[in-house]
Amino acid sequence: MDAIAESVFDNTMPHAAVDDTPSHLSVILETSAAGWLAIPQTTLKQVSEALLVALNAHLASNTSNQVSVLASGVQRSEFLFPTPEDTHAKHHNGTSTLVSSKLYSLFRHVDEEVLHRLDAHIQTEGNGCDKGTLAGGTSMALAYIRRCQAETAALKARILIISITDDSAIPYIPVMNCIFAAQKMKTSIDVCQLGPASSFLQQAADATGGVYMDVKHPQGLIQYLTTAFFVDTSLRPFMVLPSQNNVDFRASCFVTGGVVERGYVCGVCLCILKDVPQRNFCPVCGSRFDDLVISKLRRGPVVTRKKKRKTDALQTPLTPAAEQPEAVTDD
Amino acid sequence: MSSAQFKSNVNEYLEGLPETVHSRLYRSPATCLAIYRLIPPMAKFYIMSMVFNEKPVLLRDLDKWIKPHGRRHQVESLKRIRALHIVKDEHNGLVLSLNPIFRTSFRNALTGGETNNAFGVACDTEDNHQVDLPFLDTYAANKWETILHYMVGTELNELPSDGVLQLLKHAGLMEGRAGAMSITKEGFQFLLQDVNAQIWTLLLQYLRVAESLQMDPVDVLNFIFMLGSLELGRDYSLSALSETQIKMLEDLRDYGLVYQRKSTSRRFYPTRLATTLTSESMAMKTPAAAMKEALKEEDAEPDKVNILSSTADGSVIIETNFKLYAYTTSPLLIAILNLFVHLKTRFANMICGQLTRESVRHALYNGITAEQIILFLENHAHPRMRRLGEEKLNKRLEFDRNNNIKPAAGAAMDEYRLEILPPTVVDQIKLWQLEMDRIQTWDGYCFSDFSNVQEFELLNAYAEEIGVLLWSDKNKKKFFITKEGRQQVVEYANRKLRKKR
Repeated sequence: MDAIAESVFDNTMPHAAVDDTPSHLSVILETSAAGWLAIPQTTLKQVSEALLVALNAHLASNTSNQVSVLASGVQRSEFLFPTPEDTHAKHHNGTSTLVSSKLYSLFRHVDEEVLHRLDAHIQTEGNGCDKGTLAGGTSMALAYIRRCQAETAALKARILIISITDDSAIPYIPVMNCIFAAQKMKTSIDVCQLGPASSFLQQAADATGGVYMDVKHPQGLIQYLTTAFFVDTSLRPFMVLPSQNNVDFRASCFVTGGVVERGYVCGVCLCILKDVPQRNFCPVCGSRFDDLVISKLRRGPVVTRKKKRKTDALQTPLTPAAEQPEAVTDD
Repeated sequence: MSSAQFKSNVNEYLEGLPETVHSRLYRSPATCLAIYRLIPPMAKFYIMSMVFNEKPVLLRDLDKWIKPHGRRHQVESLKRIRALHIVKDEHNGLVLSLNPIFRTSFRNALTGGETNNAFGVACDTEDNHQVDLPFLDTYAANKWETILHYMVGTELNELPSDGVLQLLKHAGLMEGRAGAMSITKEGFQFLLQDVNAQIWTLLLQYLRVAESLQMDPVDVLNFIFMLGSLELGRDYSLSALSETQIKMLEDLRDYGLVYQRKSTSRRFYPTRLATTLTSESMAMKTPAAAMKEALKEEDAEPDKVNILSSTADGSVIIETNFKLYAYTTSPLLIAILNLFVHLKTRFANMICGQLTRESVRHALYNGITAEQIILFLENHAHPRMRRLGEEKLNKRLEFDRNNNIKPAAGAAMDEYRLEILPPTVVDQIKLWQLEMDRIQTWDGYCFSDFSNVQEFELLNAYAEEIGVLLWSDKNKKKFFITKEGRQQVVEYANRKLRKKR
């Protein structure tokens, strides 16, 4: 009987948990030319077509839903939508042939703007062989989400990264910082990986409760985008998301940038090193290491000879106990 | 009435339509889009995953997406889209397929394919009498406000049109003959709703009246949904409208949904009231806020106190001792507060009152629910109350995070709900309502005579999972479920128990 009496209390907001709250979708599209060249199955054009439909689908779900789109190129990241100066008015009167004029005005506005900007972005993008600007793009997206949330308190947000590059193009530290920021903001990062698998982005999705998928058939990208990547933030607690069983948690070396399976950590700044530093100070923070310890570590593993007598306790073995740089275990 | 309830009203109406009408409705992409927005989020997910997938989907595959405690939402979502004939069961309910008409239209809406001008035809010529946004906002607010003020009996220079009065009477919001109409209980309830819900209430009534006038409901609905997808501040041509829709335009002008300079004009402007028709509660506050912005600019006219503006920015403060202060001069807001507050003093710019058992009970007797009162107070709460609530919530979140307290996964959202009103007041209002209805009735089915405890527990657990269980007693091996849940539980029982034998 109690259950019935309390129903007024329980059911005041019968579906509060999955009520329609506006959500923000921030898409980061990698545009590096070399990256796209490496994926013969699909082109940037096809992907952007699918992406626009997915954006429309997101906007269709709720009138207060918002989107933002960023292009992350080789040299810089920039907003494709929204932009400070609205170029929408310029080609408003049906001059744009890119988007059907019959489209719902809200969709048309976004789609035209994105295509227009994407075109401009690719035109002005120079050649460069820097590391990609994915981290920069992610932080721009996070900053923008933060601003939107300041305006509408209830706004939920998620980030979708359409990635085409592997770990070598991703700067480790900035990406990690983005992940922590996203975690703090309760913003999940979804990763749609078209290129080779990336362990950092896997970690990003895993840490923020997002979806990571290696898209095997880019031709059917739209189905991926409208299924696995379409799960709204408010629904996530109720849904079984496609998850990675074995996320690669390996970190990357701060000096060489290579993936580290087993390395050394500076006791002061916690930077991760693949090898014992050449000189006796930390290459990142500059703090001095104990010469003795360094030389001990540099010596590498030594097969210790079996002691003949156990009573010889005075001679302490040279096992590294609590030295300053200590080994990282891969967990 | 909350926005959730308004939605359920619209949905009820839509679900009540026969399949043939649905099929005709779904030919319009704008309508598909609007209906898509009205269904629950999980149903949205299902539909979206089927739109670009030609093959029917196995029901079993859909189950795999859902965690056990989400089952209840799933059942409800599926029920809703089945009732709307958006999806259909095939092969003995094993396979779900999307309505092909819906699929085509919805795809067109998303990709900009053939849309049959469902999203309105914009005028390509320049309007000689161009109007701007602030004008449209004031126009709409004035029109709508006139109706509301008329209902509470404020002295007005200009009365709402006959059509509006007729509609108010038909909807049972007012009674009496023209010229001497008085507000009914339902009318007071109507006033408690937010603007969007009010418009929908009138529009649904309009639909019912329209049917008796031999107007095609599909035409009417298509037009309403189209209005929701138009762009604010643009002029649209009448050329794409059917005759019924042109006739409707005249009525909608009276409600302030559209602006037409003259009735012979070949163009019309949708107002904010129209473009936010299919929006959710969150958006509803924004247009009102925007309206306020627009009105701020003409602060020169202080007597123009606007209901929409005064409600957009909350002005009501409630203390834990049930005292209520409202910084308002709007006769409408005062009249509404008077429904459930014992008002004591009135000053130049504020009123004081007290929520008492008698005042709330009085409101409850008039058919107003506790939930309505609470929602109204929440929506009109002073920004400072909101801030206070947010601060409290943040502190709690911080505390729980630091101490590693994690609420149960399902309750997570409920646990951290923003409490704008003092919880004591909220609970007390609910308790007062409980006093009113000591007995609650449900239509349903009692399951008894189980052969063993396992069977009982199996079905009991299932019924609870899908959220249809109302009461159960383990000792007597009996449980009671809602009417709607019967079929599912029986099916489940047949499936499970037959397997065993």
